[in-house]
Amino acid sequence: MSVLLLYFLFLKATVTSFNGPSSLPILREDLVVRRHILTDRQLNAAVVAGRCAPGPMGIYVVSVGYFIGGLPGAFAGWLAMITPAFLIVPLLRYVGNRAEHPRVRSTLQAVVIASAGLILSSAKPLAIDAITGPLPLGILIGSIVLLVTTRIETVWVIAGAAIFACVVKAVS
Amino acid sequence: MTVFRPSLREIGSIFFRVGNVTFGSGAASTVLLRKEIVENRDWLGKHQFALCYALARVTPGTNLFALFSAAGWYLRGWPGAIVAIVAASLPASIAVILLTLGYLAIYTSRLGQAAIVGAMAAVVGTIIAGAWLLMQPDILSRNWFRAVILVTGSMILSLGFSVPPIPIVGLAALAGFFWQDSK
Repeated sequence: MSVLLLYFLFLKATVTSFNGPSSLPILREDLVVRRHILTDRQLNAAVVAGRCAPGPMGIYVVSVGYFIGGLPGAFAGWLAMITPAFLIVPLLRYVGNRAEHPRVRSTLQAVVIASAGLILSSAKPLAIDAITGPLPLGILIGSIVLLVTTRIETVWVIAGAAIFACVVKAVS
Repeated sequence: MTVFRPSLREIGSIFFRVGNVTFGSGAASTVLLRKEIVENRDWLGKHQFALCYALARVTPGTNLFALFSAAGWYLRGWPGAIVAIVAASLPASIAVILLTLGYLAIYTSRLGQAAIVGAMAAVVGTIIAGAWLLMQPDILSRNWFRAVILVTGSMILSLGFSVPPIPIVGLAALAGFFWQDSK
């Protein structure tokens, strides 16, 4: 696959989402389901890399690009990740305070809520791949509880889960 | 209006620091950016930053990068926006590539595989928790019924009927346009 086509596939996902993880269902649909150039396991690993790195969650797209096309693929992912950010400049110049119009705000709010549903949907196949026994299931539940009830950084939850699984494997 | 026009090098330095020191959430970076360019340096006024933040929330893509782009544009026009985005995103992207390489390297070892199993389970947890945190303000508000319909509707269309995400987002936008919340 050419880097340009990969860039446009990434861009399609990033430009139609309003936060980092929202692009996940679109990328999975295009790269895993339709084109078979990425596996669910690789997508999951890319999310791991994105969550463990500094910066916003949407940065996992760079790792997806690396899995598919090496450094040129990662570059395509990075470029597609930052491209939509420049759309704010014409918005700043021409839209201004119209973003506070009730109907516009309601429309955007509905998109964000529906995105949450799509994110939950995209977790299903990843869960089927990752939850292979009681230990991963316990880690899944524990991580949800920790993240919802505390302000702990995501990276520490993931690192803690990895260390915990290592210790369990070593003593078993 | 902008109080002071910093050099591109100064912009790069600040956005490098703000964009590459926090993990997994834009909230901390947003607070840090405001402290650096509004409170500490007076590069932007409070209202300018508030407008940047509000518009970043409605800009497609990663909201945090849109905020960086807007702030950089206010400071030095298009060159400022480009420098801000590159300084904030490139080092973190290199870190992601190194982490991906690390994943590929440890995948062959027994303990490495165990670590990955644990990490992947936690990642699924972070996705579910992230979705909950995204919808929580609406689910727990007086507009809970609208939020529940939107969430369950998008899940049913996606999981039950395999409708691709973009049409679902379009339907949600239409629903939001005609069905406003009761605030």
